[in-house]
Amino acid sequence: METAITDSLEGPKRAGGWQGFAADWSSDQRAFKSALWGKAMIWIFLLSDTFIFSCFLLSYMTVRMSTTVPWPDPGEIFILTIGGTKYPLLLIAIMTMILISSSGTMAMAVNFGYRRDRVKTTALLLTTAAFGATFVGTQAFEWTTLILEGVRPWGNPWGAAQFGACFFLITGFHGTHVTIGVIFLLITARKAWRGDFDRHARGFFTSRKGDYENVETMGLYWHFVDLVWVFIFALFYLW
Amino acid sequence: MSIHATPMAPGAEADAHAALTGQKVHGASQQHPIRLYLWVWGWLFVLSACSYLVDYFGLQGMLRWSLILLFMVVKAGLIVAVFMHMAWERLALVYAILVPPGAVLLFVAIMAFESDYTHSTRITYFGREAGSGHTEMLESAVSGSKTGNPAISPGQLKKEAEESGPGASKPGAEAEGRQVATSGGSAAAIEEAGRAAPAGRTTARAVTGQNEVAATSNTAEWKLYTLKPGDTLWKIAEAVYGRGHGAEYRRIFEANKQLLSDPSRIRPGRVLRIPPPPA
Repeated sequence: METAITDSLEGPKRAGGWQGFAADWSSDQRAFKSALWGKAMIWIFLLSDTFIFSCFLLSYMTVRMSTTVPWPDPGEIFILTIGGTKYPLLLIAIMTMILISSSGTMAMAVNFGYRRDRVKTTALLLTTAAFGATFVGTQAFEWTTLILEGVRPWGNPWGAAQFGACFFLITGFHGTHVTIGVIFLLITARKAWRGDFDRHARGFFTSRKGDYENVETMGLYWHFVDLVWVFIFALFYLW
Repeated sequence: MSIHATPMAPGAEADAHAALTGQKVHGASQQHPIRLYLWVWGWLFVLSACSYLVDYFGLQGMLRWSLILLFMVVKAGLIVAVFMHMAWERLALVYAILVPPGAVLLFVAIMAFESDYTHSTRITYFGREAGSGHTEMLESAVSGSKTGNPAISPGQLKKEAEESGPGASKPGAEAEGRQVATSGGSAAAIEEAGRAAPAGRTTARAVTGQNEVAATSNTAEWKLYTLKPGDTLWKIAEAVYGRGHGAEYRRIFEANKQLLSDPSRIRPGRVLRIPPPPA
């Protein structure tokens, strides 16, 4: 049992503000009093992932600012044609809405997880996974369209050659995150459905006891994926 | 990503405290009313729609960039604060996670400075030849629009090109030769000339408007051309009208409008009608 950790969470009422900050960091054993081990670790993982995505977006900014060749206009490239009418960036807007919807259902899943509602948690996790899979599908469609139009990592028909490299790297890395997220959502949903989190069954890989907190850990990862898309949408597609 | 500035539904804070103190087994559990999540969810949709509308209405310049950044930061703040529960975590965790990304901002500043320098050296060392080519191209873009908007003079275009904002790539330098040679930049030219317009972005549309090529009645000199893989309208225009006249690809596009929906989307095997060179 993780009694030591669990007990300390309900310990004496802790000071807030800067005093609490100093007290937490100078205290024995654990600095993160409001977060269990798993949550603290996923946050640190997400922090490192933030740096990776930051570096990608930074490189994109650097090549875009330093090239003397005009940057292709996303409004001219990412076009969805419906019934002969062209809608610039519509597909990207739909992708954004899909991802936000998935974030919403994920937040609900975490909420119902803490209420120990096994059925609703599972259903919401599966809905989130379905949204995620739809997003990946839309992205595959987007990639196919662009590749057929001649976009390559080393060139494209519209302007600066670096456009393709940035596009494939950034959206590809993000899409990989979504794909991994969908896989883990399905695993988490299965565990929730089997009642692993009610019985505190041990995980097959980590051998750590399951708990509905696992759903929140999953949620943090998934919201992060949505968060990254917010930045990609603004800085790559709209800029 | 200020979480303190994030508006919260009334009672959410009290709820969080109740959750923290009332829970016996799951001390760190986050229990908040569903209403709060729905509220944030709704706002995320609204904000996303707003940032899409920025592009839809074609806002440009500082207004565009500040609105995009504003919506981005508010959305990110809502996700981190409420969906990721950062608003209810203790400061020890909040600062451990949110302060390090601040270093990224410093990195951004350094790299912005660095890329500006790279850009200026590229203009200085590779810009001379292409620079003259660039002027030529602008002029040809304008001369192609003799029937179009007469209000814009080449000098004016050039001046505006120099004034285009730091975010917009500046025209000039090696655009023609290398770009066209490697990937076939038919639309590189539209963009190139397009950058010269004041907006600095989405200006291919503007040029499209200006380059209304007068229909030629002399059909005797028309030619047919079968598209091969790797062809671009620009390349064809250079081959037919002579080097430096790639911008005349507009004439080819105009003449084949029923076949082509977009100058950058051509399919091998199609036969294009090539209009005679301008008188």
